[in-house]
Amino acid sequence: MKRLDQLAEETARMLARRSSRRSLLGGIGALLLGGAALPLLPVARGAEAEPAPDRKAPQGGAPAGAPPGWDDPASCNYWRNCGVDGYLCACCGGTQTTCPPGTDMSAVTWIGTCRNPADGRDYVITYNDCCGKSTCGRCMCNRNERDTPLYQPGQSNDYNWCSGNSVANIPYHCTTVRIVGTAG
Amino acid sequence: MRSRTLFALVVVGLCGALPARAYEPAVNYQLHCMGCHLADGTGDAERLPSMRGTLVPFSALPAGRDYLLRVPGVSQSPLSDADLAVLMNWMVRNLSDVPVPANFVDYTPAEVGRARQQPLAQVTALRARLLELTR
Repeated sequence: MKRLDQLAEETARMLARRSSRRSLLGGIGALLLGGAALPLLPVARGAEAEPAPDRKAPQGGAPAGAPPGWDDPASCNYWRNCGVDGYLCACCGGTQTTCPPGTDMSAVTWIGTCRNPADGRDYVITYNDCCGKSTCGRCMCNRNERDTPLYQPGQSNDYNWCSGNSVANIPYHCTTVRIVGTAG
Repeated sequence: MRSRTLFALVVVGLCGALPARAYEPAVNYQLHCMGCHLADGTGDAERLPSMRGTLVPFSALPAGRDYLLRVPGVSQSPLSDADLAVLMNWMVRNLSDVPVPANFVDYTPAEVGRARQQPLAQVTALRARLLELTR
């Protein structure tokens, strides 16, 4: 026990003899600065998703005329949802562009355009349904803008687009809203 | 003052007469075709045959051109004859695996307008015959 005391005392005294208060401050300063500079190093950031166009939008407040929730994928007012007739995948365990686990994305879709209030441009949106599980039941959204009657099937959202796909199973679960381009 | 009002009325009248929105053929393809035929025209192996191998050979035959303009997606599309003709020519040049021959004859609005008057009801049988002809 005494030997342990002696060891602790010797170590403490040696530390006190060899280090000044200034060097301690300097060390902490270097640590802080170095830590802050670490994220600036050129490491690969390929995995980071590019921000969606709606997130690049203006800082500070919604654009004029945009309803509340215009930039929230889980809101029916989300600008890309202008033609949705179904459940939003963003509320069902997926995102606005990906299917929830356990469902397959239908390749065939109906397609329309939605205006992004952030830049005032029209974007071409594909409404890919996620299929293979029974209906999600959350965030029902039925806006139908530019929806066409059933006899113009390519732009009609009243079809069950899940049944048009040989990969996806028939049951409809929810709908994604994917940007494929701008409509000029 | 009166002439200015008249001018304004004429301008408003002209704008009303124009089609709602004219898009590039690539955008019209996205809006009116891609939902089923997919972005590259490959379609679905079981129900929706790829157009990549047939656009050019069919377009070289009068019966093939007639078929392509009368299939439901073309003849019953909400696009105008002029927009459809531009779209057909764009598809031939952008979605075909078969090279476009130098003597390729572009689709014209008049040709589109004539053919689409008689939409096809039985698509599959006629397509099979055309495949025999172009083999």
